[in-house]
Amino acid sequence: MRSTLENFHPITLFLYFIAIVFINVFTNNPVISIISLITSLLLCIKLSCFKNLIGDIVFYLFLLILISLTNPMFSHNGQTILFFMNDNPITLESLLCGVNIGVMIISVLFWCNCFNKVFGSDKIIYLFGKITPKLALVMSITLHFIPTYKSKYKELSIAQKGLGLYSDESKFVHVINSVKVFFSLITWSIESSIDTANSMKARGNELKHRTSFSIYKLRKIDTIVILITIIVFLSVIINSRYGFNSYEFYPTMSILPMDLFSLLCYFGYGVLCFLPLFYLVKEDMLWNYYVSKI
Amino acid sequence: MKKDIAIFALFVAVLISILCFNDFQSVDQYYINHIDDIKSNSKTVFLSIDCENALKSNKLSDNIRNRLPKDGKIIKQTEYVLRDNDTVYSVLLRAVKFNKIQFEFQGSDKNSFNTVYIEGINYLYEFDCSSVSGWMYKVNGEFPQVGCSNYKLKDKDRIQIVYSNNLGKDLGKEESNQ
Repeated sequence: MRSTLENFHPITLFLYFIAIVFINVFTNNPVISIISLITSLLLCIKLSCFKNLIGDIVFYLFLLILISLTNPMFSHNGQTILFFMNDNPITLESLLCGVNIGVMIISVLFWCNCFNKVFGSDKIIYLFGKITPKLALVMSITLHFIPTYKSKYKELSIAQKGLGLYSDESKFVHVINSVKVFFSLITWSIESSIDTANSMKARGNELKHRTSFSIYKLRKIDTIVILITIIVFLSVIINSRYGFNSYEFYPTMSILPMDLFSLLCYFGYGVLCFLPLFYLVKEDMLWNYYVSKI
Repeated sequence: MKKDIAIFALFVAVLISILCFNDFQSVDQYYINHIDDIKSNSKTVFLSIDCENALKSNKLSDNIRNRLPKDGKIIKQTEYVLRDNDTVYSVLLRAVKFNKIQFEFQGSDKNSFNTVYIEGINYLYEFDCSSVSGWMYKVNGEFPQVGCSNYKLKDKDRIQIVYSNNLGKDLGKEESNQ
């Protein structure tokens, strides 16, 4: 199903996602991480149904645990010592710092997931086609590969199931069999990439003066979103420059900054993150309202 | 089914090997309350930990500055008993455990010099004051050319663990002609 977010201008969407991810990555404030995680998760659920996301969420939870356990192995700073490993302290602070990093990485992954759903290959060609045509083409092709491979993998494994590959009961054998299917997928992908290259050459990809067609208009709502993005982005960056919403984990965790400027920062970032959700819900309500009138 | 059990056994074996090859200690086990008594015939060394230079630097954050002693002497010069085969590192570790000071190091198996590297003492870490700041050590007023877990100590040696903001140049270390 197409979402109404796709109707936005490519520049708007690109600036929006870049600003969100940039703020999320370069401030290590837990409040901003949590806002980002919740909103990105909600937006993901809104854009694709919850059932398809369960696998992703389980994987991301596993990733979160892995990252939060890895950080205390390498960083031993911090006051609250849990125990000692090879004479180096394992501390609560570094564990929580790891959790914060993990939450940040997971929310960035969720944002990228949403970005993928909203930002099609035609938008990429439109944005980068004139600056770096080759890079734009490569990017749009690689983004296209992920869903193609997913569906091809399903096709292959169903065919193998029909031939009796998964008849063994052991889970271990299942894993080995899926690796076999994966290898056949790789063989297929190499073959198909040569096909693609040949086909593109035959259609005149390397010719000069090649143009691409697109209709994107900068609407009123686009300019409003761009303005909000720029204002929030600049205010958060300036605030962090003067140390208002800064947060330190070492040697002890500092108290969450709750002064006026920091609160404004959280509020601004929250508004920015909730913007697409708010827009989608508004459009849904409008649709239902018009349907009810018929 | 047999293969499942084999995989499970492998997983358990990895877990047990992690537990065996690493040394786990609780906080009480790590800190020592009693250090060797100095007798009339026992060999001794002197040890001091000093971070005066870090306090002079204006790049040090207040969060860390507030945790350092005002005069910069984390451990004032104290006499410790010298055991057989003691290195600078083993004496330092004993002193730090006895005084309950935070200490982080890079183990000798983690770097190419095969020696222990001191990363931070009392929450003051390498790179805290500039990109070339960190902990160094002197024995009898000179900077040895080996790592701190390879320097064998003699009777009445005077060890100074000092913080440098500039590769030791601010501590009077001459530039080596290499």
